[in-house]
Amino acid sequence: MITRRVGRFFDERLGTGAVLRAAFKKIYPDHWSFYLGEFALYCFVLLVVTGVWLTFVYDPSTTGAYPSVLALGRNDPIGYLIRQVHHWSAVVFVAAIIVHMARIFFTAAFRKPREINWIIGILLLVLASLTGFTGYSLPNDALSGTGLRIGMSVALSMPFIGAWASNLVNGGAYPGPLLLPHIYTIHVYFLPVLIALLLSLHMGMLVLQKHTQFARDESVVVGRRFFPDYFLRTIAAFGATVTVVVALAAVIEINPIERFGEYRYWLVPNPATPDWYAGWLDGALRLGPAVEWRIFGHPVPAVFWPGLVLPGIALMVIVAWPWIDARLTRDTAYHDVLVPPSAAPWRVGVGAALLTAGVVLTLAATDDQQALALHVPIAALVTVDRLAFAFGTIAVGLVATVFASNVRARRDRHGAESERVIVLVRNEQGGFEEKPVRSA
Amino acid sequence: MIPFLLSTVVAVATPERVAGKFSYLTRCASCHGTDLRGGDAAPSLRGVGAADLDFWMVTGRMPAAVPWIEVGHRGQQISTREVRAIEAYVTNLAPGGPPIPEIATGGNLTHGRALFTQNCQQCHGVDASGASIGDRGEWAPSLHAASITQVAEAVRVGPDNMPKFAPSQLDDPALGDLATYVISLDTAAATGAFPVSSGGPVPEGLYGWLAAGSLALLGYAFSKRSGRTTADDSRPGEERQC
Repeated sequence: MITRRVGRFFDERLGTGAVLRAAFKKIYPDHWSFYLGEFALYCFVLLVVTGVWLTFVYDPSTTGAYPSVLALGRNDPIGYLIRQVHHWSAVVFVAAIIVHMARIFFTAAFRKPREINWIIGILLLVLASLTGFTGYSLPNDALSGTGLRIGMSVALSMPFIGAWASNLVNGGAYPGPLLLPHIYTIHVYFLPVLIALLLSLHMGMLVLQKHTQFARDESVVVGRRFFPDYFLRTIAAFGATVTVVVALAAVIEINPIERFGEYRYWLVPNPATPDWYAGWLDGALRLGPAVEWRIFGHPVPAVFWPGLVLPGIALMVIVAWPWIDARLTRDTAYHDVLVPPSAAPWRVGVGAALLTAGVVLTLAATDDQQALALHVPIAALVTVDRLAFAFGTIAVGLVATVFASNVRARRDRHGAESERVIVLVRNEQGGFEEKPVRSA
Repeated sequence: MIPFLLSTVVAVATPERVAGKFSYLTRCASCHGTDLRGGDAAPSLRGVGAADLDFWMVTGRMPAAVPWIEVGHRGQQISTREVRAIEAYVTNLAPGGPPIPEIATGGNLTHGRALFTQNCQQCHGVDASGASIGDRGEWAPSLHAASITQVAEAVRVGPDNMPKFAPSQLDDPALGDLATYVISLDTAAATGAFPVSSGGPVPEGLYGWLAAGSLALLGYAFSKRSGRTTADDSRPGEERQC
């Protein structure tokens, strides 16, 4: 009754009825893997809600930051829970993005016309990691301060502009009085707004271009109406995200800054590891060669290569992947239909190799903890990890390629026997005739 | 031979020292020597003090089964009576070194934490559960098994690679605060919840990925095909299960 009235009120003034009707009728293809991106989206929602709460208590000044976060646990009955939900959502957020991205990659959803959305997605991953890193630095505890110190050293290693960039962020030499206030502004205003903006573009484009689907036919979208089917499912996805993240936050402690102590630039906690999504960068620094070259008379510190050049190359390859893929497959046609991963075994191989490289670098960031657990020298672990990075990735890529081509061969065999699909279309005379179906 | 005879003469002074001498000769002397001067396999025990002797024996690191293999805290291996007897025997033969510190629980935790984060956690880890400290596989042990007296003894004595802190650097009340904080880490109720992440972001990342994985499973559960599948009616087409 009330809904109807409110609906009519807006419809008579703004003509919202037609828009809503179209939106409710819109069909969304259904597959479990299409929810992965939604989990990331709902983590972001949780991050914004809890983040706004935290801004009321957080003090970005150098002396006030650490006590203000500690005070959360004392002065506010649920402040600590809110902080833990915030941190856990960030940890799950980036993980969900990676899984979502892997789904896009292996099912070739990035193909024309969706290259722009692939790039926006990668930008979102980068921004999410940066937001995570800046947020992790805000409590000014000894662990995050050490991470920030490493980040600053990598920034300093940039030829020509490094010192300039570092001074700008710090408001002087490290650790400058403006460092935390700057990071606060970047974390609270700049990055989340940018993420929200790109997220709207990401999803607007999804609506505009229609969601990809697993089907044999490009010409028709098969799925569920937005309302009520898909609406209820996406509410369930939101509920699942909130449940899992809040359960984590309620049960498992995260980032115990009261044990790390306040940051002093002469203190380095042990073990020192960044949050998982920055682990691959830390691992790259640990595995990077200790070489300091001079280029045109300028010294280039050793951290420049693993800290900036390697991630830069990796990102460029991933951004360019739709075009590399199109070149390799000689396929520049429009695609609204997804392929099973095994359709292109070498793509499975490349994806597996990239993921392996990420896993090896991330594990390398924990080499000191492995050394303690296994009682082996760190130097030996570094050698093993370097070999794994150089050759293990290629080996895993090859194995994955062979595996995927076996799967494809078996699927082709079975497909020929049992999966012939006939689509009947009614003709003008009222009879039925078979419609030719392109195979995916 | 002469020091050995001398020590025999001195040792008969009290019954405890007789017992101490017997224990020392049977348990320690094969490596540390009958004259306490040590050898290839073991350091000298002359003038090390009761705190040092107590630390090594009460934590079970001594007597060692195999001298050159480093063992961690494994619980006291010989009776307290025997430990005291050996301590009395050795300190009487070669006096000097710090005595066993008298430390009571109930120190100031805030001051203790400040001392710990500045002086100890770099090697023992922020939650005192041990950490790796060198390229060649050196490690600092966990302190969770240690008693408050053992923590204080280690600070005064500096076993192995650990630096030692004299009372002029860290007085007894401060040492009490520090040791109280270290002991509080054994049972500290985490501020957040279960302290599984005290190892830092590594277990946190693992749990985060578990959560992401369980979300994917949930997504699988509620995308199970039920309800009506519809074809997009904005395009010519037909209804079909996808």
